[in-house]
Amino acid sequence: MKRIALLTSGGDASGMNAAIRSVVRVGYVRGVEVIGVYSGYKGLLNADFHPLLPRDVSGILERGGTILRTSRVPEFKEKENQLKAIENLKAAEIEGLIVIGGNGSQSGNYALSETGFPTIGIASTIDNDLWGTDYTIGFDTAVNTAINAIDKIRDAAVSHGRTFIVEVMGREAGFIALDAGLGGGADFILVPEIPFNIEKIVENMREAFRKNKMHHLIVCAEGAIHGRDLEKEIKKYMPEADTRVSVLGYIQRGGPPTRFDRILASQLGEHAVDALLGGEKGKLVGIKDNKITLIPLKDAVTKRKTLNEELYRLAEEVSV
Amino acid sequence: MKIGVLTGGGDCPGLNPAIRGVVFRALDFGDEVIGIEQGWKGVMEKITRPLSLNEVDEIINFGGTILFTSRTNPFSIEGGPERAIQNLKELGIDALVAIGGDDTLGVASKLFDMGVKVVGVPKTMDNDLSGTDFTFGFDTSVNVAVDALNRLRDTARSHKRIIVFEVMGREAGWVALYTGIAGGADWVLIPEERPDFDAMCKHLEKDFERKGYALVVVSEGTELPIDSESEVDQFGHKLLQKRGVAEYVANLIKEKTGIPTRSAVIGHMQRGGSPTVFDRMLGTRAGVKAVDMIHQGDFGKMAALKGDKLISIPLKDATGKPKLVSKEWIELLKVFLK
Repeated sequence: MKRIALLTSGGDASGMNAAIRSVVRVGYVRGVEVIGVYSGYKGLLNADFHPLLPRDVSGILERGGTILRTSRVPEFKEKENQLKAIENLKAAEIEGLIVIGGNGSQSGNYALSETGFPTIGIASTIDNDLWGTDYTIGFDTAVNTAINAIDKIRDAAVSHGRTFIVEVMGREAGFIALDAGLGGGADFILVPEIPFNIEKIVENMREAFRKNKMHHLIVCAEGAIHGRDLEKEIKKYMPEADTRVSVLGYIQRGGPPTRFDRILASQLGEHAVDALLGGEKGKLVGIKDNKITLIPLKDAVTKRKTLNEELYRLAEEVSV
Repeated sequence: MKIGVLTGGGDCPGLNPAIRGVVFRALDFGDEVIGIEQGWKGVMEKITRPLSLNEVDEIINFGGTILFTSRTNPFSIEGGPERAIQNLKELGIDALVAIGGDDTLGVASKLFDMGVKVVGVPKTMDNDLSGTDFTFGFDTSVNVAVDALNRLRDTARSHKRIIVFEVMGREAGWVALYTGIAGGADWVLIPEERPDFDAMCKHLEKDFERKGYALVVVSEGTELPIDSESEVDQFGHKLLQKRGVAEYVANLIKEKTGIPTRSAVIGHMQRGGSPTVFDRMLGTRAGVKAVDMIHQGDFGKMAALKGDKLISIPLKDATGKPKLVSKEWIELLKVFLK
């Protein structure tokens, strides 16, 4: 294999740049030309290809976002567009493709691999919802940012004796909420995977008030319930509750990657290049049980990664 | 002497260093310090605890306030001021240090007129208190906001979007101004200037064409065409949280320019966190100065930062009229809108 392409797709995640850097430089060391595809799958359709050399990726290790830019392209689900992408790759004499991204992006990648073209995925999403991997690039940074914010919010909660609802990202999965909640010392954590009972929450809050604990921190994933709606629900039972809502939103996405994400991204980049050169295809590179492993793309995107329920139980126990 | 100390209004980083400064300096005079909890509410309900060296020794790096706070206003309660004065007497408090923004200091000023020996220590994240160059809390909160804006830049650039970022600032746009200049925003909306949305959108289109993204910082108090009467608190302030300024501005940009635009609100995380060195130093110095003022009989005044000196100025001069962003600052801001 002499020439491979690289793209980032879907939501940006901190550490994507570190992965780009690793792919480009490892590719260079292995004697492979690395072509950057701009704006994700859109760039595959437009043949927006630009060679990347080791110096092109200088100074990006510590930067959030992705220098290759990203996009969400719903029409990429159509077969003819996928075939057009392969055609464009072949016309540029590109023999393999690496896709850095999360669930949706790897689904697209899986579709491409089904045509027989050699592709490899790098697990990168702040949502951490790729089956077969323990952690995806960007998750650690996002959770650290969320914990940092919760720490700051706690100052206000304690000072004013208020109930703060902190809404974090996670439409279908509660990974961010669980880790941010446990790491941030939340009193309640609401995730899409586990049903919750408002009355029970309110009862626990009343019990705490009786013990003179006046402040509460509730972390909710946007997919479990929106912060504002939760506030309304609580007020139904406790009109007297002094509540505030903070939606962390896009702040969670960006920023310099943590040491964990930088190292993970560097490792996954290297393994992705080596997997392609070793003849692997249709696989996702991720970390599992502290080892870099290859997971069939099909499994990674079709099987549902479950929340660590032991961790959830622990969070309940330590918020007693 | 028995000195009472309280913190009122919104919490902000630097309150704990100020409390600590009061206690440390009071020890030099052999004073006893009584912490009054939850601001003026603690005066009304006599919620106090003694403050010793041990209790304040390690709080220099804590955000929030160990004395808790509230927005209780004795002057909006029937017979409130009289009860406050009576309670202070019963607690044996000879002099009071009130740490807070213009509401808390406004109460202090009125109580001084009624004979209470009180000195003020100004705090506000918004930095909108007249008579002081800076108040503690501002530096920390702007640092948090700048950090957040730079995170948003990563996302905006990656997705080719405009992001509208809402920061605190009710009447004055200092937080938005500093965040905008120090964080490298492409447009800044502040309460002092009626927004020119057409000019903004034109400018953002240009920025977007040049670099593929743009960042807008907006003050929560920015004037919007939709403004009407809304909920107010005990001091008569509008509760701004539900107005959704960032969302409004983002929708407007989306409609006018067709560029994908998102909004983000910093909210309460901007309030807390470990104070920066600047805020620790300012809080500490102001706490020390307040005790010195008490021993000089310099009541009815507050410890204000002027240049590099802490001086005492009348509470009346500080409260009432907010310090707004001046024309010179707006000119400076415009240098960076290109």
